[in-house]
Amino acid sequence: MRISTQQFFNRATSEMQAQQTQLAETQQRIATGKQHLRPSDDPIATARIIKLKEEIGRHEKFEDNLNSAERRLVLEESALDQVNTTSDRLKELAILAGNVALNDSNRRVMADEVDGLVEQLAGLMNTKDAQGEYLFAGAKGRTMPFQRDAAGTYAYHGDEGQRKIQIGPELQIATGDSGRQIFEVVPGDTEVTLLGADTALISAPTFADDDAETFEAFSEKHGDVTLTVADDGAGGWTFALLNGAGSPVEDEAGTAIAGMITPASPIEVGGLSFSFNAASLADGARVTLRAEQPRHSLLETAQTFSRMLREPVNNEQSRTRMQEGVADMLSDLALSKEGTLSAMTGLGARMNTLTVSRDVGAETKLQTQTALSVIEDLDYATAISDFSLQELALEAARQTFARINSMTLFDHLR
Amino acid sequence: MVGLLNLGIQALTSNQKALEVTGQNIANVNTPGYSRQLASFETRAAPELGVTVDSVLRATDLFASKQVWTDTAAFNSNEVFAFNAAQLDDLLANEESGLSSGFDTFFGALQSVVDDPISIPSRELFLGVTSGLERRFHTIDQKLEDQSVAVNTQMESLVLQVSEITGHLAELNRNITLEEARGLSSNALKDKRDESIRSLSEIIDISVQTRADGIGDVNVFLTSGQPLVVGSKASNMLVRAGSLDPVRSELGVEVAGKFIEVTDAVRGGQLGGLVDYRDEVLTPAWNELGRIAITFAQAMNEQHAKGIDLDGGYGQDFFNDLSRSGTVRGGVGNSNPLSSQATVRITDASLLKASDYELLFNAGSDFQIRRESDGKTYSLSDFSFDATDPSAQADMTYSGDLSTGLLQFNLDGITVRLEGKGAFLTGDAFFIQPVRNGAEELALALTAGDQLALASPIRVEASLDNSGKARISDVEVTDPGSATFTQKAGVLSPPVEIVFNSGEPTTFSVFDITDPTNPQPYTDEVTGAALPRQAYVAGEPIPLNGFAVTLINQPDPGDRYQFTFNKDGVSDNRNALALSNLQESQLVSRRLSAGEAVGGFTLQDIYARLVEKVGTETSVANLNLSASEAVLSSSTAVRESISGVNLDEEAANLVKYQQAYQAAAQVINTSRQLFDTLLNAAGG
Repeated sequence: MRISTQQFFNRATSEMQAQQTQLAETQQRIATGKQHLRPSDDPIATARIIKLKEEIGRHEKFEDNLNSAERRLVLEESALDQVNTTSDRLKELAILAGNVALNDSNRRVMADEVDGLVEQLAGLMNTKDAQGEYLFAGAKGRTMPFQRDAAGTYAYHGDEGQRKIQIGPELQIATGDSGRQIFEVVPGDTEVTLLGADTALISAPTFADDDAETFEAFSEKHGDVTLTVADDGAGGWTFALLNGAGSPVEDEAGTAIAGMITPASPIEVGGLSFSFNAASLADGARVTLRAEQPRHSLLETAQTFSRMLREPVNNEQSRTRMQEGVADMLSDLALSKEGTLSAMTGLGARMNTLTVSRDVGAETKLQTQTALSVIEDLDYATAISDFSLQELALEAARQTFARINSMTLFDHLR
Repeated sequence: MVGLLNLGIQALTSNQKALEVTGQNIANVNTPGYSRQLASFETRAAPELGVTVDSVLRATDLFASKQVWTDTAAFNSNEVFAFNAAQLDDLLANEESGLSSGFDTFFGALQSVVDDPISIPSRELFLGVTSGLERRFHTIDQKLEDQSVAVNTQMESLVLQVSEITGHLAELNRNITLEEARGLSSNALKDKRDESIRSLSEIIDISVQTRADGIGDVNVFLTSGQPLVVGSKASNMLVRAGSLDPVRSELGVEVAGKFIEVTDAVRGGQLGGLVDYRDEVLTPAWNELGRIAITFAQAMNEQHAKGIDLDGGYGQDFFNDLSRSGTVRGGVGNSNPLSSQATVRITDASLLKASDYELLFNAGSDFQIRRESDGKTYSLSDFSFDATDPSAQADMTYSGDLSTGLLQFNLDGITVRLEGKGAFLTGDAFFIQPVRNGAEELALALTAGDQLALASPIRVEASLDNSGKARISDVEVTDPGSATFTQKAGVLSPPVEIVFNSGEPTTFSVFDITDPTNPQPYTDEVTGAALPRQAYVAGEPIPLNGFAVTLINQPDPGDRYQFTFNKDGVSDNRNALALSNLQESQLVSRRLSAGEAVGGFTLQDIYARLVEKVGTETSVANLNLSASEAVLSSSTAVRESISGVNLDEEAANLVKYQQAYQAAAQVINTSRQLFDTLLNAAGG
């Protein structure tokens, strides 16, 4: 084939240009350390790189979250630890207070110490984190959870919120516990609440036995119960007791609890004793009876204890009261300790989860990074040998071009 | 003897002519489009004898030239496509400008507010990062718009060049005819004409008609048949703003004073490359970006509205509302102009397609909707009539009356409402762009960190008396527009208590505890009836007004749960967690199956698909480019091997003709000597 002079030049320059482009590309790869400089170099690999980077980003977030969860849990653990130490001292004092050899002034000194311990406990239960957020207030992080009311009694002002954060692809962990769960564990006396529009239907119920055990068992079994009144059509009134499902409540013998009403005369139902008010009797009148048992914290128990220590013990009666008070204090302390201990057990379990998740997360992240590196990172050995080869080719092209260029027939026509 | 002298003179002039041709060849060695010329020697017959150069030939081959023109068009098309695609390719996957790393940073910053919802600095930082993400959307959108503008500008200037070249060609045709009629050489003009055709095929793919012997006019047509040059007449090529989509410029040929649209018929050349790039890469990428922006904004807004901010207010719009960012345009030639009521509204962002739609009314009060992304068409019979509340109709339904010029249809998560000034007539066309402006209009609506609604509005309190093992596993706001949330600020209207009853199976009752001492039956706001006692199924959500509650495990009789407003719940992060879960949620490109949206992709998945798609297209374009470059260079080589000048060859020719010239001179000299000899003899 003929070859034209122009074509020869054009072809040589365009070949050299192409080689230079390749060389520059390889150089850029080596400089950046990346196998692919732009998505079009390998679109599928690019899509995978995006996915893997997203994955690594998520794991890095999980790591951050793990650290943040750990900080909060460690803080909570140390607060609970101190609460434990403080309640141990309270226990020592309670046991000591049972000693008959103590006199009133000894007890007053003890009362002062108890007051101090109460302050200390309240301080611990109102612990804040570095952000100034109350640790035990549930979701109400800006509300002091244990506040003293006008009468000087502590009450819980937080809620039951528990903050969860994500520490793994499918794993969330609670980074705190509410003060209600941990501290509000000391039960008070069972109370009965009347609900509904017709609360005047019956007199305030009293418990048939001293410690309300019958009613507690009854309520445990039947839940909220509703007392309904009906006109029997003969000038008298009947009552019936329905459970929440609307069925009649039966007594232990299996008969439905119902009967004629004799106003003002007390009747006994499910361990409760009350009488109907004649004035409020109406067909369809109803009142719901609900058992409620308030809970309070150790703070209140300790405050009662301190008040009691300040009372002079000078007769049998006050001595018995003293002994009972000490016994109450000790049993409440045990309950409260159970609360903190179970919270600490929960914390320990969560800390374990954190450790495991951290290991698993690190492993997964490493694997993902390895996968990413395989796709994304440059194989230097290949790249450098490619570079040398391309360099050689370019050099050869230049030299041959120069040689061929110097050959022209005109040189010989002299 | 005179004969010998004549022979010598003829040989002398012929070789002189041949030397001139060689000189011309050498002189034009670098002239683009120059075809090597050959002096054609011819023997004179007896009695004159001798030689003559009767013509100077152009070494050219029509087939080789045509091949070069076709390959030039293909190469230039690929070059323009690859050049433009490479820019987008770089932009999308770039760490600094790409959306993928932008989303990573965004959800990363969201995690720090999940961890610490009370911290104002974290909240402000998160908003800052969100602005950064918004900027990335805008940057890419701007780049796409710039490219779109550049495509249109380039089309304009290329079309001007086309008209210039076709005019030039027509003139060359005329001049060549004239020269040939005068019997003069038209070689130089023909070279110019071929070169002009080659320049034209750089811009657009053409078909060339000419006689095989190269005599006469060359006629040039578009591959779709429209004439550009016929004899000495040239047609103008024009560009105008798109009749439906103004940014999509249209190409046309002016035939008999009429604009004949040829945009979709233009293939090859730089114009073809531009049109291909615009239709195959630019527009789909632009719509996809818009769809991602809209889906993202709507999902964030929807979830954000289900939370409460630091001051206890319900979440405002996180981003500005993009549900009305789409546009509907009527065709220029419509008989029935739109009133201002023509709207497109996004009703379910998760069903959106990254596409424009073209709606064309045809006879029999029917219409055809064409989805541009996949070419799927719908007509009236594909939709079912729905006369209910037009603000809440399901996909694939329509309402209105075509004969009065009212049509509303619901398709792919959008509701399009057209209100014309009279009946729609055959040929009325509308162009719907539901997602194109999404990325451009995306804007963060929140201004301060404390407006971030990270907490759930519902506080759950289990009674301390509960003895059962049940616990609340989830509380989900299902409808922030419910009266529960909207009736009164700072409280639930009403607060709710769920109480479990005794007996088998376990049932529960729901109470309105606005007055805690006098619980009332809870009223369902939809039916207006009191909620009856219901059987308890662990793990099954209990639907209430505007929210749903899920309990697990077995409760005891009398166990109760209260749901009140989450006042002061500043440390609550439940809504923040729900927001952060959007990263893993399949929000985009869902499809309807039995009325439920299913399938779909996460935001980052769909973006990765976009990057992959543009990357693939770029990579294919690069492959095509090198292939067509190789093809062009080989067809150029063929043409050059016929028409190109080789200096060595010319040097040899120079020697050859020079020697012949010298020999011819010697013939003359010999003739003279013979004559002298004869004279001397005669004189002697």
